[in-house]
Amino acid sequence: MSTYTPQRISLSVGLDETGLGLSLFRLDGESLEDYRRRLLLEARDPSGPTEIQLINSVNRYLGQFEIPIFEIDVIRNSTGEPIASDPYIEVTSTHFRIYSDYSSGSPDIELNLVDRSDAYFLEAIYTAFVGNTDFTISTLDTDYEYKKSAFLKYGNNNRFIHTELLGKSRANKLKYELIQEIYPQAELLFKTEVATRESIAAEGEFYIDYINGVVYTYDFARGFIAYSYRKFPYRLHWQPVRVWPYNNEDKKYLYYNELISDTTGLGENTLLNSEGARIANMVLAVHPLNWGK
Amino acid sequence: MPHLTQRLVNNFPGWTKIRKDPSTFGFRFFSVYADYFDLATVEIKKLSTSRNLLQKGMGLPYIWSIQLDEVNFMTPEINKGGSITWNYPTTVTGVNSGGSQVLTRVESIEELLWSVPDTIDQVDSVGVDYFLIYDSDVPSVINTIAYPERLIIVVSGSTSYLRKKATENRFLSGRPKIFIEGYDINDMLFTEHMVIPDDGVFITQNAFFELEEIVSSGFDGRIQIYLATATDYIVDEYHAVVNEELEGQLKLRTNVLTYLVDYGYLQYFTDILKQGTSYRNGVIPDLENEEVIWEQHLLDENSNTYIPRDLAVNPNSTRLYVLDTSNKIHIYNHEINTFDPCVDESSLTRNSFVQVQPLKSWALLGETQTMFTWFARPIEPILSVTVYRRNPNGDQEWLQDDLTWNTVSNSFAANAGIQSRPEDTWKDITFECEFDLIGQWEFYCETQTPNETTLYYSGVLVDSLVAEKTLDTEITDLTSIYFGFNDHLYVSDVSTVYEFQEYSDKYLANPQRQQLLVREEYTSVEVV
Repeated sequence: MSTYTPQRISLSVGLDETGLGLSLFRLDGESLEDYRRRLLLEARDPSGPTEIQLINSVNRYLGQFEIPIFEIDVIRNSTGEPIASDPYIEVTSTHFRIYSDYSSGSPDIELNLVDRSDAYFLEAIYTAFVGNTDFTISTLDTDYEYKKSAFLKYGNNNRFIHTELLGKSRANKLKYELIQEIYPQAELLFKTEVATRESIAAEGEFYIDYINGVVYTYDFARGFIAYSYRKFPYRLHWQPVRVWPYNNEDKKYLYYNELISDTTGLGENTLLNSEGARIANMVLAVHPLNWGK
Repeated sequence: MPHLTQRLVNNFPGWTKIRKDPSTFGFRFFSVYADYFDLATVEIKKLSTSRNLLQKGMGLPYIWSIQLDEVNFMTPEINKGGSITWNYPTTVTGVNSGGSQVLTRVESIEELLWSVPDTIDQVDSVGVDYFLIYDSDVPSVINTIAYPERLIIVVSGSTSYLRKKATENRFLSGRPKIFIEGYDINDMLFTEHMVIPDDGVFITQNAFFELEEIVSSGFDGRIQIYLATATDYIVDEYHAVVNEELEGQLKLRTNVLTYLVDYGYLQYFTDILKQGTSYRNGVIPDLENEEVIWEQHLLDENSNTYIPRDLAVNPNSTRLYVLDTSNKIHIYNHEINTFDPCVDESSLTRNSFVQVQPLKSWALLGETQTMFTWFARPIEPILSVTVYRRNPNGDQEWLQDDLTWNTVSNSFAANAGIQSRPEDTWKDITFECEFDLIGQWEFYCETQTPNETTLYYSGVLVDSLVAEKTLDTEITDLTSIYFGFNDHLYVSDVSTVYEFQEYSDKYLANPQRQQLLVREEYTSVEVV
């Protein structure tokens, strides 16, 4: 009797051919189930050169998947409108911030994702919402508590719709609410913005219900409209391989140690630490520009 | 009998026996070719969807190879005449953490990849709060989906199907549809457009993690969306069914004989009208739109009867999996069985005057079917007609004057003498036959005329399907079975879905390369 260790042979299947078309190849030992998930990601959200495309696509090339962790929504009043006047969420390189009034500049919740004494684990983010009167949080992953917060996907809830067709009507409900800015195609219909719907009295006047996402015009609307909005409910994802832009201002909390400022007397992250120096050297090695010359 | 035999014989004129009677020699002859036709159709269907990301049946990603040492080399023996017989390994045993398993040798790569599973093993289970995710009767409620999966959509009770035309129904889209918006397996928002040709059971292409919105257009029926549930029938995407008049997608349904305990059967059927817009228009009353092509009894691998509960088609092997009430799974290569040659085949005559005809070529056990004689060629006066039958045990009985069956030989005398016109000499009779045995029932009609004696034959099959394999889930009170988005086998009870992995302990020997190919993954393989 002889004993052998079997060697794995990959069989070519239809998905491999589809993968060739998407430049995404099956990894050695990868199940077809996982491979299809990666291909579906690539088909529905193609990788590309923009910042958001890079952030979204790196994991799939490494055979990893983002995990939906939390869903954050605004609390609404009896008429269905958000209590928060300008709600905004952002996850930066090192921080999680949520604002009920973003224009005020001061966050309602600000958590450091890389500080062991702050929100080092996701559990701290969840508990930070307890008692909050503007936002609710719900969990999408039952196993979230002790996942490291530093792997939260970089991003915010600002979204942009490139084209939405306006119906032949004086009032058009847009697909999304909490509108920030609009960019209509039919400029003659959108000359002068007025303060209330009832104030529309002449051609070219229009009114935007920014909260509910309704566009009112004097004449029947036509053409397309582009607009930005704040996405709620907003889902936070956990990235096994985290990607964030190096020029993000909050990286100072990771790569710079605190020094007492001469002008303010307060601690500020301005002293490049060893990890910061290591990364800076790596960047300079491949992209030196005119540094030091 | 392959599903597509009838399509071949439908090339013959409508009056020919071959077209109407599957027990004929010609029908049986064409079933040989239809077998290849059937196989090719399945392969074409698989190939046509193989590059579809959402395809059902992704295939097998890996097999494992063993390069034999010299001590285990397979040696050839040259027989008289020069043919070679290889000495294959005596025993091949796969070993992994769960124990060891003796592997069976198969003859072809197809058999290695897609043979019947030897065992199944539960790999996961998920608690489910809601199997009914959405009901259009309560449109404001969308329940949570316990895990990402394709959803089952049941549309029922529609009275009208409408679509956009040049001057009518401008508010509708071109075809009746459901738009389902939700999050996919990667938590990405998307919309699936599903064409609804008529009321029925449909399955989404995508796996949904969460439903956001459901919009329907062009029909007014009730929409229910389920995570996993036993439905009235399933659609076999890989087979078509054909009868003398129509063709359609094969639909399968299990049922139980109400008058016999523990006797389940499988019904092959298709839709008569394929589009709801053809007949659900609020003017013509809704019709029974199903055409049953065949029915056959379901037996387990030991040929015992059972009561079926739900069924599913494996998208990779295209085999039928039937879940029974004792929580066992029976695996079938489901097709209609071909008639055997009849006992008196050598005595059949080329011509016949009076024929014996069943209403349909199949029957269920215990069913009583009306049959009749038909004076098909009234060109000679009839002297006498003898109708006899032979049941699956080979017992022969004659039709008596009182239209009952008895072992005593009997003939019906003709009405008049040879001077009469032929059509005056015989008046057709209608009689009944109870099919109380599973198997092939043979009916003969012997006609005597002044010049010749003819013998006509027609068969009725009380058909049965014996499982290739019966596997026990070892879980109680199961209600449904299906194949999931990952091609794995799932069964569910009222609160939990159980995921199973199928294992086929097989190997293929390649003596030219002294190589063994193994289907399953083992930590080591012992070869003797």
